[in-house]
Amino acid sequence: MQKITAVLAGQPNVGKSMLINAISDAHLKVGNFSGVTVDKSEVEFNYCDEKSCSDYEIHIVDLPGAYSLNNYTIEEKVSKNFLLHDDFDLIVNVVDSTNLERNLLLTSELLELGKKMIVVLNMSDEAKKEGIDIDEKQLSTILGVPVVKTSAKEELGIKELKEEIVKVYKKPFTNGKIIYSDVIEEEIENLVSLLKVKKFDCKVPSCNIPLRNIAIKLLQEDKEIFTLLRKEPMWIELEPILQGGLEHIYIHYNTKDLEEIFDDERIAFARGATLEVTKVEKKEKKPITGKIDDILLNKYFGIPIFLILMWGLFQLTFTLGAIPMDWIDTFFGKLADFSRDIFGNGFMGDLVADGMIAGVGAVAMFLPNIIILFLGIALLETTGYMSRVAFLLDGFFHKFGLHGKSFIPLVTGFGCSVPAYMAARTLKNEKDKLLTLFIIGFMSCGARLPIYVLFTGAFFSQSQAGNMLFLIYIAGAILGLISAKVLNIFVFKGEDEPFVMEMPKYRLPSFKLIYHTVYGQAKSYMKKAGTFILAASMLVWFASNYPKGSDLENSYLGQTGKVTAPFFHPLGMDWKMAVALEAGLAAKEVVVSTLGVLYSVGEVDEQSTDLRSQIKKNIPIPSAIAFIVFVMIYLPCFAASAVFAKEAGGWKYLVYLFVFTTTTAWILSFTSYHIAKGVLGV
Amino acid sequence: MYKIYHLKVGDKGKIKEIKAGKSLKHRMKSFGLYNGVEFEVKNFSLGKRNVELQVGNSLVALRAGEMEKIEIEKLGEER
Repeated sequence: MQKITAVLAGQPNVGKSMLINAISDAHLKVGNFSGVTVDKSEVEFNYCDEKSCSDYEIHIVDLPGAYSLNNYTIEEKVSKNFLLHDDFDLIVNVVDSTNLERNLLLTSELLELGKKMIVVLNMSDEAKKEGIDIDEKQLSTILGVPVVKTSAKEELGIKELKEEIVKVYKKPFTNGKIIYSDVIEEEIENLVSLLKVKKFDCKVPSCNIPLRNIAIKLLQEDKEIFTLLRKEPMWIELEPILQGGLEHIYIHYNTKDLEEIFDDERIAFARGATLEVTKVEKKEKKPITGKIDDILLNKYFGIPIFLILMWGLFQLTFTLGAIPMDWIDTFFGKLADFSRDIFGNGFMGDLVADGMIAGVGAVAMFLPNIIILFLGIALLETTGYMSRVAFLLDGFFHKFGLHGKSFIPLVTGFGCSVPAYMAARTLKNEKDKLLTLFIIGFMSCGARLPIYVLFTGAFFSQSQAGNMLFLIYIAGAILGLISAKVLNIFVFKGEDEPFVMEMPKYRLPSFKLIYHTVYGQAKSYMKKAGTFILAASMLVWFASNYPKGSDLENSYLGQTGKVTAPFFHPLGMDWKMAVALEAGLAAKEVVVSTLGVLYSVGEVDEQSTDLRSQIKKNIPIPSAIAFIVFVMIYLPCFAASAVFAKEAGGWKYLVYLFVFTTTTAWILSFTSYHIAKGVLGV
Repeated sequence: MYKIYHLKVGDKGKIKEIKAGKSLKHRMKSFGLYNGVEFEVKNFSLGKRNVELQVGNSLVALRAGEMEKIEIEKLGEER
């Protein structure tokens, strides 16, 4: 059996993921490219012809969508890196038939790589509907590589594509034929003839390509090829030819910017090829996308329509999601009881029930929220509406250094930070994403609500408490936007990332594709957060129950609180409040129950009048305000922290976030404590 | 000097020059925005902070900052 590795490369929104699903969805593996949070889907299957299924095993790697191979976005970097440095047999370049000219720009860059290649004219059904007819045979002649027409949606041409992959694999390499203008072709020829005479041979993957492609890369001043060739003795002879060649090209183009020269060459090539192979039947009807955009991007109705849609999504997420959450809660409660029956009430029973099961239960609880929210986001993305959202809101968010797409993760943050951090994936630009991730915590999540309710209830009348609550939430959001601006100026410095974005055509969502996306995200959440949370919750359980036989005050957690009390002293807080805040690092739900234990009123929730009066009696108002401000700003919980580290791309970012939020919390808490003290005169 | 934000929704224009750095220029090219290309303004967001353009067969969105970098000429003035 022979193994064929093919890479799927193409621009965004050309239906690559749908194509890979249509090719074989049975064994789709979703992972990450090493070191980055860019999804990598792979599929492996046996190729079956008339005779047997055992001759070839085809392995397809789906590269992230890239408009060009210019290292502009992280996706482009990942794709370029893979194409240059990884081992594979052929490239399958997926092209949107309805947008041939722009897609061929990437095709021409791929042809320069000098690898075996197949061009797939995907979405041929849509092209037909739009009256676009592409002559694939002629295109194949022009490009010098096979061209297959497919429609992933209608599952057309999939069999032909598989056949072509095997055919191209078996055939010897033939060079693709992107033809440049005469000046450049002449210089390529000069370089190739020298390389040929010198019998240049290179075994490194990035230069184990045809001599013509090496010559092209030399003319493009490709750093890697230069470093490799400079070590060769023939460099002495090569250099003058190259220098002369470049001079010749510069004179012709009236510029020394090689990138621009080659860009223009590719544009001319793509334009010429498109003109030659396409016939467009003029259709009078206004395309459907334009009609929908007239409504959804309307200056006045656009934003209200979006807000209504968002409101619906959050209602679904947090009300519908609450139902299975209760079930999961009950289930883990039962499981904990059951484990006590098995392990008894001793160390093992406590560890399993309170440490392990309770911890995993807390993670699993969020699963319904995550599934519903991601279903919504997947729908927004696959239908093409997400880009419109960015368009509508970018004007406002950009003022704070954020991106229009930051809106969804930020609003999600009011529900729960865990799915919010995950939702930040829709931001493709690294800086936009990090900035958004850093301020999500300022949007007070649902778990902080009990703390606010308890404290506002203790110090304000029923009617005032509601206003205070609202004020807390708004203050958090404003603080978040200000922090974004500050971080943008001082930390994520540098020029603003430009906003050049494609607005994809509106499309009906594909059930299969959405299923795969949501399933993959849910699985990765359970796997990553689950393993870490298990360890962390065991640790917290241990710290609050040991040394053996001690109460919370004398446990390791209580001792830590006492040791760190001086840190909280300037904020007007005693060691009890310090312990509550520290326990709150694990989960905000714990804060209220910890206060309950420490003020010895036993089991409590936020409605407990006992605890309220205890708090009113023991805590002065300025300290209470400082406490609330601290809760508003510092890290949400363990689960969120683990997810944050994963999405931001490393644990070091969690350290930054911890330092950033804790410092901000401390300073603002300190300030509000002293202002309140001054104003109230206590 | 004409810029995209001088146009109205439905107006057509032609790119005369893109005055941007290397990488942004390349980025714009990969979206089909380069000298001599004709486009149509499809939508503006509030305050013309963003624009949606029809370029060839695709729709491309830009921010005011990018519009600033593109010099254009208005087509069909005589209409």
